[in-house]
Amino acid sequence: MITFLQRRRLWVKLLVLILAFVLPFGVLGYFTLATYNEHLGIARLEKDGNAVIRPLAELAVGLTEHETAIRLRQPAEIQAAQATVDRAFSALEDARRLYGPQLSFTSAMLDMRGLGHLRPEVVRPAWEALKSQWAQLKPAEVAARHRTLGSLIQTMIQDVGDTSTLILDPALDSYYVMDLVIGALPAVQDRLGRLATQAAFESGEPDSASTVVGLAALVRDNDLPRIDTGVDRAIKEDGRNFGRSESLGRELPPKAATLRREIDALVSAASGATPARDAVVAASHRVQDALIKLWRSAADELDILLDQRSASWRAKRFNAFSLTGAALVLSTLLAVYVIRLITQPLGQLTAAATAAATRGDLSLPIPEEGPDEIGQLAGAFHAMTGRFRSVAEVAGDLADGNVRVDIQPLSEADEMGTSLTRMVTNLSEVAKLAERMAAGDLRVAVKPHSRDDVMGHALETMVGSLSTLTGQVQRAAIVMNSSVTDIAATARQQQATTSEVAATTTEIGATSKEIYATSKELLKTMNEVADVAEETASLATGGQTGLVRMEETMNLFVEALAGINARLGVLSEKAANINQVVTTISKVADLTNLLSLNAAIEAEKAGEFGRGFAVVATEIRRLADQTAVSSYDIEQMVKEMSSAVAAGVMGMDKFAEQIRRGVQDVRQVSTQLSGIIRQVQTLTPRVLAVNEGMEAQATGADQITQALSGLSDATQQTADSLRQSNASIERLHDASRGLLKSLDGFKLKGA
Amino acid sequence: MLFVLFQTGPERYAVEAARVEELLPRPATLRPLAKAPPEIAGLTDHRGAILPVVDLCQILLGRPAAPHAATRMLVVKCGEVRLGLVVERACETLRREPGEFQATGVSLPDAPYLGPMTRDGRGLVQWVEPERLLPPAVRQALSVRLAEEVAA
Repeated sequence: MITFLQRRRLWVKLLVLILAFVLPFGVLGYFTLATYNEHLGIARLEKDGNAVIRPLAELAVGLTEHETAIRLRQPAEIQAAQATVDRAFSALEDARRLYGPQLSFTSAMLDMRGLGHLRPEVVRPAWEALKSQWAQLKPAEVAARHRTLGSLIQTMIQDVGDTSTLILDPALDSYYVMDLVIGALPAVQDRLGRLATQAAFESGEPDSASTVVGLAALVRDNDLPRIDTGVDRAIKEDGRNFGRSESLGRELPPKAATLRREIDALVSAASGATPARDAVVAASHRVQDALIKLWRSAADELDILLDQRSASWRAKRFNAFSLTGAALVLSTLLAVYVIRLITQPLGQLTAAATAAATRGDLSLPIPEEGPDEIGQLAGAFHAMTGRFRSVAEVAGDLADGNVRVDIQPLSEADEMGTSLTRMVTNLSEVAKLAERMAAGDLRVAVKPHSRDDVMGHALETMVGSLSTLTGQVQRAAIVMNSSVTDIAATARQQQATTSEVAATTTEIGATSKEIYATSKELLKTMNEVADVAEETASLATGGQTGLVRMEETMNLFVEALAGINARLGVLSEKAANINQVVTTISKVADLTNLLSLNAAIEAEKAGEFGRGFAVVATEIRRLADQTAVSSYDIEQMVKEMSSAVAAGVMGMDKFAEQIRRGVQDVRQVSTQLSGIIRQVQTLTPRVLAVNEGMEAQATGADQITQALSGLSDATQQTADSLRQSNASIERLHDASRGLLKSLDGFKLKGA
Repeated sequence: MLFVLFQTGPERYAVEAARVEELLPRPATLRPLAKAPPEIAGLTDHRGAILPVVDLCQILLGRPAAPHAATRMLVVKCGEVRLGLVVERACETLRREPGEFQATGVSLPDAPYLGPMTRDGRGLVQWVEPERLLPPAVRQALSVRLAEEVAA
């Protein structure tokens, strides 16, 4: 438990403290409530007992009436009394059923308590037996049985008084009324019962009148004062306990007075020398009547008083409960407020301290300074954060480069202040060195403060490196200057190139647009192509059938040509024969010519003798010449014919060959046409595909145009940036010249 | 006088019929002579005697005679020597008197065979003497002498 509490937060601990105080108050409240409930229980029990006593009173009075009526032999009165008793028994049963268990008045409980003779199953049969048998019984037996029943009822009244704690009634007003209900009035009834029976026996027994008078006097002198005192006391005490009952003083005294008056009348009626029996009986009746009226009123008043008591206790219980509850709520609210007063500033402080410790954040709100411990803690925290802030400002100034800050240690124990002061001093030295270096004096001597002085070492190294670097930079600046000049030239070239690129891009853009337009036209053309392809397919189908017919015709041609060729062969043979004959004729003619010439030559040589012969020779030669000419003509004709025939044959052969080739070609054309038909049939989907491709191409060209427009912009930007870079290069050139000039200001150790 | 007409190519010539011994078809075969000038076509048998044959087309035109049926061989006598002259179209005779020939007026030392010209219905005809047609080398090889050489 202790460990558990130690681990809890502060408000939990405070809550547990409050609970520790609330617990005994709770116990106290419980016991108080228990007491109130006990009082209420008593009142309720008393009221239950009163409810049972009512039918018992009626029963007692009824029995007396019954006995009296039997004595007087009045059948109507007997019937009425029996009905009264039966009603009372029924009412008793009802009350017993309702309140029996609380009052230990059930049959089983009566047995347990040794009061078995009071059980209803014993008492009721006794009455039933009396009711049905009284005519056969002797008067003494009837009287005894009534007496027995009467005493049983008296015992019941006493027992209910005990078990209902009526007898222990704590309030005086109700106590006196209770005394009337279960003490004085039952005793009066007992005596008056006997008085009534005595009055009824008056005629038979001479002492009856004196007994009646004695009993009446006893009642008047002994019981009536008790009743009066009880009524007086009750009225007097009423109001001191649980409030005043208006009906108490109004109901009880007149009825008690009536009872006294009736008893006085009975005494006076019975006290004469010869008391009239009927008058006594009548007076006794009236007394009985007054008694039961008073009894009923007393029971009613007791109920009222008990109700008042219950109401009073209930009100008290409510007050106690609500007051305790209100007090608890108030104290809890107060406790919560106090807890908040403690935990809230503490929580703020904790959050601020955590933020400062973990995130270095000093800006979180801190509670106001106050006289209590938390207020003091807040004040100390304020001071601490103020110190932190001033240190942070100093550090900030240092961070901004301001080394002329004012910082002093608060005490010798202020490690942070001391260190910060030393830091400021050291940084000031470094700053001075840096100022000299800034002025271009690199001949400064740097001494590190310790082996761990990283900055000192670094500064030392830096001075050395800067010296080296400055030398190198001077050389590099010269090189850079010339390089910048080169770069400027290159940049100008690049600019020119970019302009060309821009022009080219524009051309490409125009071309791309043309491509786009051409693609669109191609698309249209492709659709026409598709239509033409379909027409071609149908035409090709027609052409194929035509070709089949043509092939058949050509085959017929070839056959016919073979016949012609054969005829021509015969003709050629005949021509050759003619040629032979003509050759022979030619030779003969030639020889004849030769012969005639020789003859002419010989005739010439013969002179005058040869003259006639010369003439003959000349004639022969002329014949020979004609023959030669004719044969030559024939030969020429035959030759022409032969060559014509040969040419014809050749032509025929060529023709036949051409036809054969034509047939083959036709077949080929036919198959090709089939192929064309197939191809053309497959052309349409391809044209569709090409169409899609064309559309894609058109879209692509469009995209290219757009992309080129982007490229053109980019090129334009490149050109702009090149112009800018030209300007930059120019500035760079100026800068390098400036660099060279400013580097002259550095003074180096070696130099 | 009767002349026998012949041609070498288109040019027409006339030779005295008295000088022609015989007109024969061109021999089917000639026996060629080794190392002889191309004008001498070869040797043939003529009625039991050896006859040298000269191609006039070769001499006058520089080409052999065409192989026509009218291409014939004239057998002429040059002094003691008989010669076969192959000519083209030797198919006609012409009767003319010597006075009917006219001098050409042209005298060529390299062509001494060219004599006077006459005309007939088909054009000009030149009178030639066969031995003068032959070049000197052929003449010498065939032992043919001209008339003036014989006189000398």
